[in-house]
Amino acid sequence: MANDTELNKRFVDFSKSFIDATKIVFETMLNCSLTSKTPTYKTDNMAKGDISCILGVGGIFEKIVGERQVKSSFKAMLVLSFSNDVYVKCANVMLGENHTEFNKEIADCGNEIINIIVGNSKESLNKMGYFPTMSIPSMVNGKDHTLSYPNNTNIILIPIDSTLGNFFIELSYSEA
Amino acid sequence: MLKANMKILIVDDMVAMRKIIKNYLTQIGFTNISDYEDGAPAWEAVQAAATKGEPFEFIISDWNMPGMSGIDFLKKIRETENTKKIPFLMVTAEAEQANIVAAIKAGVSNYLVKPFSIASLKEKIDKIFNKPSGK
Repeated sequence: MANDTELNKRFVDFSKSFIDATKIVFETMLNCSLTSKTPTYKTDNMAKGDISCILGVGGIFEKIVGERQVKSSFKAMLVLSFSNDVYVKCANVMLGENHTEFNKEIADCGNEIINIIVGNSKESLNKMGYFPTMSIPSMVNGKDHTLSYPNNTNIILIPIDSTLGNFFIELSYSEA
Repeated sequence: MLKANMKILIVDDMVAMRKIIKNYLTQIGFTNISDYEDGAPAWEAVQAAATKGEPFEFIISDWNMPGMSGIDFLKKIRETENTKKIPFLMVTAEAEQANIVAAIKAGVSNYLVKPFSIASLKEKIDKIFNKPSGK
């Protein structure tokens, strides 16, 4: 069993892959620069935004303990949580359309973004010894909605400033 | 010289990605764009168009699709006499070497890794059609 310091260090390294991939995806596909603010630990399951895009990631990771390579498993959940306004702005830029509110025509933009982010983070995760598989993305919307994180997991909240408005990355991480 | 009305087919199971590619192609200047959500109906459309004598001139397809995958769709295109020469751009979610090698073996014209910009899509199209990029 990993001690808390090792676990926290791995969680920080793990989260960097997703933060970096989010920046790349937004810069490339939305022409939008992101600045990540100081992460904080989150202790409740209330979403910060009106629309949350969710993707579960899990699998095997390899670490060196002493001189031995040890395989273990991990489970994580990535959430991008947007206000209605910022989500619609992002979707409009992505699609070249002009929606004024959230609707079914732009509902899968968030799922596509989070899919690409996780796909893009795979290379750096592999280099760190993680071999993740992805679940199918899902979306929850509505004011004050809650997120179903797995039990006994650490969750960090990363505020993101962007040229299209601010949003949040939330990431949970646990090891078996 | 690429024609603005070149008959282009986009195949992707995600509506958003089909719209993004369509938006990019429109901004590049293309006007004759159709799209399908899966390789199976897309393959039927490609065959029907070729039989009618109005073949698609360029196909952009996702790799991962729940029905017929992009690689299976590509293989069908390349195995069939009246469709085998259609330029085919594969879009993949990850730069996985195994996928890229398999696509090249199956005869893909080029591939594009997500995320991509209008500029990178245009560059790939220019390479496929042997046009110096940016001209």
